[in-house]
Amino acid sequence: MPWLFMAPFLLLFCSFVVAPAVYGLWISLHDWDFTLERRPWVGLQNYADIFDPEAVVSEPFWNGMKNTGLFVLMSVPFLIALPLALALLLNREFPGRTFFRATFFAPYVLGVAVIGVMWRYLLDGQFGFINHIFGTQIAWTTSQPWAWIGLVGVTVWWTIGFNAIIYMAGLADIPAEHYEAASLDGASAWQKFFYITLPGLRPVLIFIFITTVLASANMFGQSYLITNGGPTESTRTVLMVMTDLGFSQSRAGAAAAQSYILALFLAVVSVAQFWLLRDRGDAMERRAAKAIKRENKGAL
Amino acid sequence: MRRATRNPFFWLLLVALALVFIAPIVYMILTAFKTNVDAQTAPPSLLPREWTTQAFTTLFNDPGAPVLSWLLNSVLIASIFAVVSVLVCAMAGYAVARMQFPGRNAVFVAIISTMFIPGFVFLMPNFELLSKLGWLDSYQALILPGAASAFGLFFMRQFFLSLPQELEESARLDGANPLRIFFSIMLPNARPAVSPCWCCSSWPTGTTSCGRCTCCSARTCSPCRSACRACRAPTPSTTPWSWPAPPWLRCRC
Repeated sequence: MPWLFMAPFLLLFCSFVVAPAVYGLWISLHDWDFTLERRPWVGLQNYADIFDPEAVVSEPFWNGMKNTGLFVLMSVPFLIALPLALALLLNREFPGRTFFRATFFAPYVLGVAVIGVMWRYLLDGQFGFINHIFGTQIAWTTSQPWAWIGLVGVTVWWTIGFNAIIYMAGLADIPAEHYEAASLDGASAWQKFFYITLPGLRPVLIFIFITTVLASANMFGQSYLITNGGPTESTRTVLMVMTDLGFSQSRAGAAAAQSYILALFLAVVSVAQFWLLRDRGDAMERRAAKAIKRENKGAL
Repeated sequence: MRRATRNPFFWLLLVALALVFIAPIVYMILTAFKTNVDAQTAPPSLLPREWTTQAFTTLFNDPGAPVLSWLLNSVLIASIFAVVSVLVCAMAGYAVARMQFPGRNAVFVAIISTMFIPGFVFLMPNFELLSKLGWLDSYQALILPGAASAFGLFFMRQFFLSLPQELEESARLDGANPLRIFFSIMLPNARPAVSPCWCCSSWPTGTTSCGRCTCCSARTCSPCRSACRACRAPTPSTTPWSWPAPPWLRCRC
């Protein structure tokens, strides 16, 4: 029976995700140019190049990795905390709640290309509306740290609604009785948040933490459209480096190798996240239960 | 809970926040009614200095860009995709979350680990696969490849994990079979999760889907299309790779 539930997913997943992923590995072992018939086998050369400082592809790749890492560090805290605050705000009962929920979700409905073009225009140094409102003359797209501030801000503005809605779905599942019981026991709002809301949200929190890091690590469109990687390559993310290598320079093999190195990095980071957010309470209960059993044995 | 609605600070905060999210969009809508020169004049004005519908006439009269049929494609594909994707991911997510079977964790970990691979690795192999299947220029090429996503499965699994066990236990005691439990109890209870999954899967797919197939008349009006001039050019159907800048690369979001 479980396999019946899994079957449609597995069928599609194997054909369109697993098979291409394996094929991508195969590509990474070749000097693969779409435009040429001959695609010679190069073994692990594409991987070796990444770690060889002498190789042409190495420097841009690690610069891209550094920029991507920076973006993850700068954006993820906001993308986790702000949507939670928003979800708690919208989780109250008030007239017009649906309208406000839709409002905060609205930007997410737009594709990254729209967001990119739109904010490139709004953040323009000369006739941008953002500078106009704040009465500033900041070159948002061509100077640091403003470029990063702009990119992080746009990303938060764009995706906050998505994480907030996931949080709200999680909040809806926390039984109201828990809060009532806590109120009867005289718990403060903060105590309720820390002892009921946060633990209740844990599966959701794990999901949001991991997928947000992955999404930020895959940032491409915002940099591509708003800053075009500038100023002086400082916002060129690793995905931009790869797509440029793979498609503009037709070096698909090298680009595929780089993606798998990135994938390896992300896998390590995600495992660390799982480990960080693992159910410590559960483990503690189990340990406590064992201790009690041991004591009981001693008593007997 | 009732208190919140009486608190003026609560409303002030809410309205201020809403403004932050709506204002840029409203400003862009107003900009659509500006002339080209007006739109690029400093200082910018909120309202058009001179109202014009020039942008729209240009857009809808361009024979190379049948925007309305693209829009129809988007709506059609997004709707079908959302149904297929939510169903497929919810079923698998439910199995992984709530059923016991050998190899469950291994399958789950294997699926999740594909999330680490940057999406663009899949583009080239998928394109070749779709062309071998003869699916280029088809709707199914825009719907099926993305339907079974690790993200969707992970999302639904986490959600089913958080539903109380008693829900299905009572149904099981009443003799309902797993399919019935899933469709009449678990899926309806997953509504809070299904709706965001639904929203997020539909439109962004419009954007990825134009990436999935280059030489495709089954185009969607993912708005990136207007941002990407390359897409407007007649697409060569035989040698997509020899293109100077693959249009789907620009569209891929």
